[in-house]
Amino acid sequence: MKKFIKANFADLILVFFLILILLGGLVKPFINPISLLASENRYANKLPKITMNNIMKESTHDKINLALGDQLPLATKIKKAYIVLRGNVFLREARLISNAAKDQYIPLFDVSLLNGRLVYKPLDFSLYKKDLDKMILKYNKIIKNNRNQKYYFYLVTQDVLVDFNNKPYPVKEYLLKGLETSNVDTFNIESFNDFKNKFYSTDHHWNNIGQYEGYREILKLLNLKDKPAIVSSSNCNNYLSGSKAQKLGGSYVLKEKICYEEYELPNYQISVEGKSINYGDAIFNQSENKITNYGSIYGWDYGQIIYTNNDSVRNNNLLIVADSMSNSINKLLANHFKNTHIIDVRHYKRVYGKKFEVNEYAKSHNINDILILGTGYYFINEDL
Amino acid sequence: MTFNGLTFIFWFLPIFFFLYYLIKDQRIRNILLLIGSLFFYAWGEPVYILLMLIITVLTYIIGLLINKFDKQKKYSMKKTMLLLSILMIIGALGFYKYSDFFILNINQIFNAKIKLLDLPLPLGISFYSFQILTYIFDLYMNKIKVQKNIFYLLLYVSLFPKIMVGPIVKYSSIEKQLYNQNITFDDVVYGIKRFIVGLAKKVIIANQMAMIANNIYDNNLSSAGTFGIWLAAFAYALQIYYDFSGYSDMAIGIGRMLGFNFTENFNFPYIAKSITDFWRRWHISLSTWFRDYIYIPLGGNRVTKLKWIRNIFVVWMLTGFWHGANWNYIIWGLYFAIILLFEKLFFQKYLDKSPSFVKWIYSFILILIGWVIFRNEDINVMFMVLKMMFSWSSTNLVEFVQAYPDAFYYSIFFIPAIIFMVPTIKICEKQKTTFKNIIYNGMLLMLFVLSIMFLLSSTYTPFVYFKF
Repeated sequence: MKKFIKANFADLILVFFLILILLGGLVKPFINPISLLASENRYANKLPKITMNNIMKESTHDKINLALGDQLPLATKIKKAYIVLRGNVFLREARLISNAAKDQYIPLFDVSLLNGRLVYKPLDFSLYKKDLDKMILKYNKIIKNNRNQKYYFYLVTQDVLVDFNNKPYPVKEYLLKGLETSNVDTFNIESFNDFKNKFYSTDHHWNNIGQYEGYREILKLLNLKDKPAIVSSSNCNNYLSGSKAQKLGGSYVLKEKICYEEYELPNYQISVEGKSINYGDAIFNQSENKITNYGSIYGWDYGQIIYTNNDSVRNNNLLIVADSMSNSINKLLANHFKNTHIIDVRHYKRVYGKKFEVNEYAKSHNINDILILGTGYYFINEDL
Repeated sequence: MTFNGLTFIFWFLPIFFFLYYLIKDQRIRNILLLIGSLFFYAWGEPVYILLMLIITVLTYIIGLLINKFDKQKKYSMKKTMLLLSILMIIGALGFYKYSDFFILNINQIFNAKIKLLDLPLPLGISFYSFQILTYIFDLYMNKIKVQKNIFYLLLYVSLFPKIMVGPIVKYSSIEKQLYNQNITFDDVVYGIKRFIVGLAKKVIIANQMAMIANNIYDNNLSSAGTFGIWLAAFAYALQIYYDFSGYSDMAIGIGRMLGFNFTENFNFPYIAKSITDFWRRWHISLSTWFRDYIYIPLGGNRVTKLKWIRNIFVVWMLTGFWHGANWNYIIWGLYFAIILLFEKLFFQKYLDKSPSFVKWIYSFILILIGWVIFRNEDINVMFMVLKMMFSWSSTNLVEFVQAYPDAFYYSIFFIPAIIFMVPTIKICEKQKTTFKNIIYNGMLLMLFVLSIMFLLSSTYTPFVYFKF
């Protein structure tokens, strides 16, 4: 035996570790399977119930494969390592090309590099208009059926609606032409530099400069002559790694500076999906090397958020139907109303089990003004 | 089930081998092997497993009859049985694989409107059909004894390491191992190492080469330029080599772990210095099959020159047709027939005198052209690609990246693909000291983990805006 071990020592080590890996893979999915994959922002796949009826079905095999992909020992870490490795290598390759190719979009997975900065490639505007046309019909119908509240539309133009090598798409003109209201405005990007100034690089959201500009424009759109909220303090850190960075491998590939501004605002009562909790309180620790993102600073998306401003001089109520763009300016807008309701239709149905009916909601909550606020994608979301 | 699936690696492999090595009784072990093989096949092909079983049962009966008529010296009946079995096996293969090809051609030639059958191709049918035929042919030629126990014939046909993608293992080569699998520790270790190498070839290299080739071929080729077209051809050549040889490595490795010695299927084909040499190194089990069961029975080269040329054309046309039901595969087969004849009749003597590098370049370019024919089922596209390969047009790097981003980014994988295209691994395997062996095995272990990493990466599907 000793002789055998001595002669085959290297091979025995190989076999031992291989058995260890395979056994781990065999047993782990059954013992305490993980439910949540934080690194992928989703629920983990779990092994399906295997019965004699489904054991030979392709769907069962697919589910098993997906479950193993999530539940194997160190699966999350291994996947992350691969994505980070790939992201780093490919980003380096892309930057080399992007630096040499001025003003040209260099594709990199689902995003692109333009002059070294992460951007989304512009959508085909003719196709986008087709989707928007459908929604304009829908909006007009909603406006027509409701003469008690005023409707306002504010579209946040992002890189997907701007071809930086050409003119920005005439989205505002198109909305004004189609919608049966003149209460329409868009957050514009005038140039690539303007875009760099108002949006994050690693994330698709507007930054503190863009948010504040948007907020002031919305005040004008709503015909409010009030003074805008004033900045009281500002905190910055260098650990933002947003949605665009996620596509490349997340925080380990790209990070940037993010600044969060405190404003002089009243104390609100905030209800999130019926529960009284703090919302949009920045988890923002400058001293720690913590990766942060838009949601953790300004608040995540929910089906319903209600701000009650007891200090309000006005008794009007505002309904904002919006995507995550509004998260950063909800509290600023809430300053000008008694009650501010924020509905994200993408989550409303999940929470309340029914489709969101804007006019019905406005009537039952004594809403005075309705603001549709979001990105180009949100404006064509059929759940609206 | 495929060897490079997580289910196979983390479920089937450990459970099956644990039981297989636990059982000492050879008969029970064989029963387990048969059950495991049928389960493995049925996992991917729950319906057409019946077809495989029926063909095996009928082959078994015909085999008994061939043996009986041989003993009774009823040679015409014996021949009839042989023809019947060929008709049955090739008939099934033809029906499932080639029906639509023939219908399409009949429709085109006679302007007919016969509806296509659109049949799914039963998994591994091309491989197991040819393996069953080796039993029948060798039995007919009295090279082997008749198999009187259907269990062993079924075990031979369904043996899971080789049923899907080969190698095409002759019945005669593993007949004895069907009864008794002598497994040593060295066999197990060799099998494990071979499996890891095969898995890495498939998931680390072949899949990335596929990204490059598909990205170029499946998009508008106008931005590719001459460089891009050659890059795609090279990537596809590497894809098909690493894919197929990787699978063969895994099959041979698992076979060895089970106590079977399967035929080698590849021997570094891209270092070949002539096309004749290439076909001695590429898909060896298929080339051997055609040589033994078609070329030699037709007379091989021991006939008149004209008949010999005919034999070559027949064999290569069939080789092409075996690969797929489309004209490009036939053209591909005939393309090699012409080159092989050209080499054998005129060129080999000049080639022998040429420097090694010239011989390699000559072979490799012809092989690449062959793969372009093989890859493009649309004949018009095929000719267009070939034309683009030989008419110069420059490639703008930025336009290339914009049009084929995957081809650009994944090009980094050409480095390992080229390194392991030559016998690097054989050099590594020669290390003998314990220390060097530990290093080598450690590298293999890392290769395995890296392969799992690539496999797992396909399940990385983040939802960026999802809220917990």
